[in-house]
Amino acid sequence: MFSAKYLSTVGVKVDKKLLSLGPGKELMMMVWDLEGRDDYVSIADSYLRGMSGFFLVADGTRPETIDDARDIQRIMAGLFAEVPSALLVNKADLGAEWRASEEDWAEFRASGIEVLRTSAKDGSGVEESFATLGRKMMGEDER
Amino acid sequence: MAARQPDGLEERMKELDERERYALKRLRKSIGSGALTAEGVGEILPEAVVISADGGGRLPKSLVETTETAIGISVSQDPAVLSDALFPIIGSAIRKAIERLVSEALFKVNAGLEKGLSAKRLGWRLQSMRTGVPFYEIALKNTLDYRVEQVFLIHKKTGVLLADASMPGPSGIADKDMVASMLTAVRDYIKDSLSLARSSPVDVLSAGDYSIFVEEGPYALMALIVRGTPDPRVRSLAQDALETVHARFGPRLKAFDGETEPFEKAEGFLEPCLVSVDRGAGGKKKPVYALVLLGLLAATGSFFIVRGAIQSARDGAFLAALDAESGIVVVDARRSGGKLRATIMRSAQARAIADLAAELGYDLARTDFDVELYLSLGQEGAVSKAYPAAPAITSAAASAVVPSAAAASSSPISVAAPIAISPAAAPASAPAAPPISTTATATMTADAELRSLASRLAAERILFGKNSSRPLPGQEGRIQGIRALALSIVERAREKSLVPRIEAVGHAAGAVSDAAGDSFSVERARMAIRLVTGSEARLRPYVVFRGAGNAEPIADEEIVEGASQNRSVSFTATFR
Repeated sequence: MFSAKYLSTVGVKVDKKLLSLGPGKELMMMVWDLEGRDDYVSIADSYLRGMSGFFLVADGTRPETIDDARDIQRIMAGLFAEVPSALLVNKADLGAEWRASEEDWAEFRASGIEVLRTSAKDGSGVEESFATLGRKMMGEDER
Repeated sequence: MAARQPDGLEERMKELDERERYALKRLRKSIGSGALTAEGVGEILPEAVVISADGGGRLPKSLVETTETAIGISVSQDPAVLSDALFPIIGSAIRKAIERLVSEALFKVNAGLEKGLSAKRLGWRLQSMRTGVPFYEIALKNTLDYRVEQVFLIHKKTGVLLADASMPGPSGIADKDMVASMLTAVRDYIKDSLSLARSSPVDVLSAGDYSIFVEEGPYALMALIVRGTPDPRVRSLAQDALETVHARFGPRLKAFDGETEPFEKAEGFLEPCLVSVDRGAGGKKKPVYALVLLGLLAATGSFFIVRGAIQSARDGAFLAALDAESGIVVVDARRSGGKLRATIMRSAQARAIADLAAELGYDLARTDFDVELYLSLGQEGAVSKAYPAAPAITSAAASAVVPSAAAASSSPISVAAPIAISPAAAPASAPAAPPISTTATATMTADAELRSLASRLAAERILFGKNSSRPLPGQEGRIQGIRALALSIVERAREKSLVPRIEAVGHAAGAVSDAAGDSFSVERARMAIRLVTGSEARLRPYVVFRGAGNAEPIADEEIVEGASQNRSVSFTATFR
């Protein structure tokens, strides 16, 4: 509904995701897609107020983005320690260019953060990622 | 048999006993001491307050009165302490209230200006005058077209849509949840971008015909999607609804965990905000009353315009006729206050203005002429020549009616009006004749009162000294009486739709020469008119004067009374 240009203007784009986590377990997520953080752009914490869970999204073809995700995770852990999260390593469809490895996200796993490979292009891993985060938000532990 | 105690035990017990006694002594002392009791209570009081408050106990309620008293004492001692403490709250609240007031005032003015002038506004003015309601309120009520299409109740912290209400029919909003979230994001974005405080309101977002009005509460906000320009009532409705929602769902809003189901019932509180004002629908009905009103106004306006034009043309024609008249000069003329005001110079021998008005059918009632008399001919001989008919109306025909046409036939200054000589002007021996002898028309129309007034006027004289055009002293009262009579005659005649004419005739019989007689008679008549009219402008259009010269003795010069009458000015009143 909202154009991607909102990301570069307002700094956020809102989407909605409806999930069925089982019989009688419908979940509607309002997804606030925030622009990435770099040296010039900080996270607008006003957009984070009241969130129930969050994804960190990195690019598997650029391992340095996982380092950025790690930095963000540390900030978020200080602000929202109890809020469930997951790391999505995107562009899983680009196998030949894939550079990231298990070592890159070992710290996340050690912190109890789920790491999932996804592809925005072919949609692989996306539904599972939402389901995983949704269950955590609902207090259901998959393990 | 006493048991043997171990060494030192007795001393030990004694020591303990002393300690216990000491402790007891301290305890007794502490119980008996108020200071120690207060100290002890002070230690446990904070904890006791917390426990009591958590349990929703009676403590907060019991402290209300004490707290109020304490605040009162604090204010009475030093108001600055409390005002400083409250300043951050009150300052913000006042600022917000003022901003709202100014915003609404600007909005009202803007709305009024936007609509501009229209035929309806006249009707609103009349309505305002009739009902006492301020004009801008009526204008607002009648001009604003708007429709509150949707109302969102949004959780303030998360941006989650809790409830919504919308007008029947298709909505242009595809996904209300996303709009609610994005609205929250945009408001946050505006605040962050402008470095506004979190509590600063972002009240209105506008684009095209649509506006989003936002009312903010402690835990939730209401967003109204409005098409058009709403009046301030909409905001009041939103505020009321938001207060109701907070009163009803306050604790749930505070502890919101993402579950929106409990707020479904809030929709009922939002629906009163869905108001719509559509003037266009009403406009399809024929505005009969407005058309009638406008028609009446147009007719009235046209009437006055046409009447004004006609009157203006009549004024112009009359003034032109006056100006064209020999011996009359219109110096200045203008219409103001519904009257034609003119400054006119008129020769003593000129035709009376009233006569000309009567001839032209011009109504002098709505005029205010400032007539200055002057001797247009300048030479006494000319004056006497102007009235050759006068000798013909001598004592021999004192009671006779002399048709003016005959008198004027040889006069360069035409005296068109019939001249009457009242019987009083005749010798005392003359038989009483009708007080007003005029042409048939005037005689028939003059009533008894007029005849009586004219008769009284004809009996009046202003006396002058021998070979003098100055009145004898002691006649002020008489002059005033003549003036009053003349005024009565003019007013009464106007009431009867008659045109009065008051003529002063100067007499100088017995003068040493004809020239002296002419001169004295004219001068005396002129002086008499000046004295009688005084500052009474109402008389001026109706008075004329002439000199009878020495050829018109009216009394026996040989007796004192007759001689004084011969050096006098008499008056006659005639009517047309």
